[in-house]
Amino acid sequence: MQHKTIVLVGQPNAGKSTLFNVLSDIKSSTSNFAGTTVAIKQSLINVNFDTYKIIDLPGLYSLNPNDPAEEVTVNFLLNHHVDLIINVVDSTLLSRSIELSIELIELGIPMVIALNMQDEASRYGVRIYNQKLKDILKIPVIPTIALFGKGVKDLIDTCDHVITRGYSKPEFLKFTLHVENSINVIQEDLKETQIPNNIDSRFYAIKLIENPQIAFKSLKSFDRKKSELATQQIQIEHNTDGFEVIAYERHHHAMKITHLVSELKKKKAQPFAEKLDSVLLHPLWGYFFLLLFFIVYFIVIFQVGTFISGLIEPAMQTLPHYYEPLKLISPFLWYTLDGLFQGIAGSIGIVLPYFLPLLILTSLFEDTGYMSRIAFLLDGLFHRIGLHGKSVAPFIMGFGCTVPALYATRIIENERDRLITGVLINFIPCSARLTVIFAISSAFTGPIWTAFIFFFVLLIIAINGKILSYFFTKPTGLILEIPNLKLPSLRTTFKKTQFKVKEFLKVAVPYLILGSIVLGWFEYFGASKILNSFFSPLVTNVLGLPEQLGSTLIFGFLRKELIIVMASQAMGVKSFSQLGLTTAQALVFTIFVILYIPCISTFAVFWKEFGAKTVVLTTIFSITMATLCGLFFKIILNF
Amino acid sequence: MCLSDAPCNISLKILKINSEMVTRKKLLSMGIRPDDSLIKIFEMNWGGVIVQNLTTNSTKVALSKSLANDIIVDYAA
Ligand SMILES: Nc1nc2c(ncn2[C@@H]2O[C@H](COP(=O)(O)OP(=O)(O)OP(=O)(O)O)[C@@H](O)[C@H]2O)c(=O)[nH]1
Ligand SMILES: [Mg+2]
Repeated sequence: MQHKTIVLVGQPNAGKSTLFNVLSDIKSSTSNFAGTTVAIKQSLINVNFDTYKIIDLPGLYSLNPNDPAEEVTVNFLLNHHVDLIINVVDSTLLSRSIELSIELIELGIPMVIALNMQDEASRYGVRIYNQKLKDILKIPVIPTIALFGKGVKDLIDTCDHVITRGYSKPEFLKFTLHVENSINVIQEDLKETQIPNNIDSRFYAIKLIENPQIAFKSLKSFDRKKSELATQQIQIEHNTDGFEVIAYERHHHAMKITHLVSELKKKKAQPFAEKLDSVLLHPLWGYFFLLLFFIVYFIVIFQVGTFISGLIEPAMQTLPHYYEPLKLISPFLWYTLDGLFQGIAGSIGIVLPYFLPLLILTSLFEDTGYMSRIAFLLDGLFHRIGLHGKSVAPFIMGFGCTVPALYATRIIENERDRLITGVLINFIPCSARLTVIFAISSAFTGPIWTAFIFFFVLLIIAINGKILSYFFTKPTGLILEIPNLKLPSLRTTFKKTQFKVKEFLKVAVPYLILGSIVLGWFEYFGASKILNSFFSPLVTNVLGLPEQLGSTLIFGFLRKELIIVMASQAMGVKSFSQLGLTTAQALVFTIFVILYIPCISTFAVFWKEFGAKTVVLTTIFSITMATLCGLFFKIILNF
Repeated sequence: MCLSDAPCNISLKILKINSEMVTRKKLLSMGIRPDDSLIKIFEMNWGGVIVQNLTTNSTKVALSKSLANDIIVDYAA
């Protein structure tokens, strides 16, 4: 049976994903940053014996998309049958939000408004009269606090009610007379045109005036000439184009409605957050704080990770003695068992200790709203390397995982900026590579070198950005919403971390274990020798590393964590710290691991988002880059 | 004057936005539009600014220098 579809639509950062997470058991990522969701997430939910499909969509400011993420939402709304829209509204931004609500109503799809962030609204002294808003827009209005799950039951019951009762279409707000006349004329022309899904012809009539390209995409059979006359009429009367006329009218409607239904009781002030902002965004102190922030961030991860893995490692070293006798009795079994053990030991003992603090800190950080501030601070710097501040968020996400970071480039409006960002993201050390950095530097080189490596990688990125941007025209400017600062919620952090750890155990660990077992078999059958000697010209001659590390680099394509999980197994030692690398070797190895081709998942997503040619070129580019940098370090450090 | 030249923390009125169409649309949909009043809160040495629309009481918006140059403002009455 086809389930009825409910979609969450609203402006960026309104709380759609938070609401979605309360409603479903699938987790959509949330953060205090406009543009967190960039792809569709869906889940089935049960409400009073009915099952609905609920869909979380990327946020958008209006149904005239400016970037690929917004396009996802508009395309979804126009190309699918939607039974109900939940328009999630940030109550503290009523006026701007209602502009979108008015536009959504034009679609003619049944709609319910969730007035979210009630807690924030009352903190800012904004009071909204729900009933009045409901009376004006003629659609149900439900106050919610998605973060605490408040009002959500009421909201979903209302949705169920609206859908099962067969709800009439929302009532359209009227524009000024001559605009209305033009709309009517076009609507008349649209009568013979097949309009897909349950969208009202009025929506397309308005879009033909406002943004004809969008309308033409859906109305394939419509004769474009028909709407031209009416559109020109408007342009002549207003002396500007249709887009601005319509935007202006919606804006005025929204302002009038906001004025009628809301009241600002106290002066909008949140002294502490404002005071903090004056430091965080200060032309001088802002950068100082940013640097401090990054240093503390990585020191905490390094220290906590080293501490935890220090607790676990001794046990991991003694356990293999128990199955040691097996080596003589049944070597195959021993290799299998050792692979299994090393896989588990590596995942739990080396990877997780660094991954966990990274997750917790990132989650805390995401909720504060500092991300957009960093984007702004670095905008000037990024212009120098041919990008702008919008690329900062995907870059920072890249420290977690390259895959979502690549998706996040969808918030970048300009294709050129998006491409350069996408290519450069591959050089940002993701959590897997960070683990490699931290584990190796903790065992062989010490924290100073970690900082040095970071600095070096950033330099490489900057240089490459500069080079890449030579091939393209100059970047466009940054336009980014700076949401209010918020205290991160511990509950959200706990839940997010728990979810990510579960995902790591479910998705990554099996890979790591399986990879280690396969490596065990390779060694048993002597295949790794062949592999190693094949790559030894690169690994040994060029980079000056032990030959055995060659096979780990190959397996690293599956997941970069495999490199350290497997390293001790490949070198035939009991624990990671016994690898016996010199400082120079450790550094060359780390640099190479950071820069050489991304893992297989990145490869796939990169392909999907940017096309085969870009992937192949980037891969060749990154291996070359990694080799050159490795070689460079070998030569320098061996002097 | 353009937004880059305007002083901080004073109520300004947007007269005109000279950017190309795509950018103007984006600014419009984020609530930066002619006739509204806004205030410039921060300005960086490299020319980036943070503004807030006072008419709609919206969130703060960060703009690159190139954009700040394209937005023409005047002191609000
Ligand atoms: N105080 C408060 N915070 C909320 C509420 N709902 C969501 N948030 C927070 O607001 C931020 C944005 O929430 P998201 O759910 O990511 O917003 P979104 O609408 O999905 O945003 P995009 O995906 O960027 O369009 C997060 O930091 C949430 O924790 C609420 O009712 N009250
Ligand atoms: Mg979202």
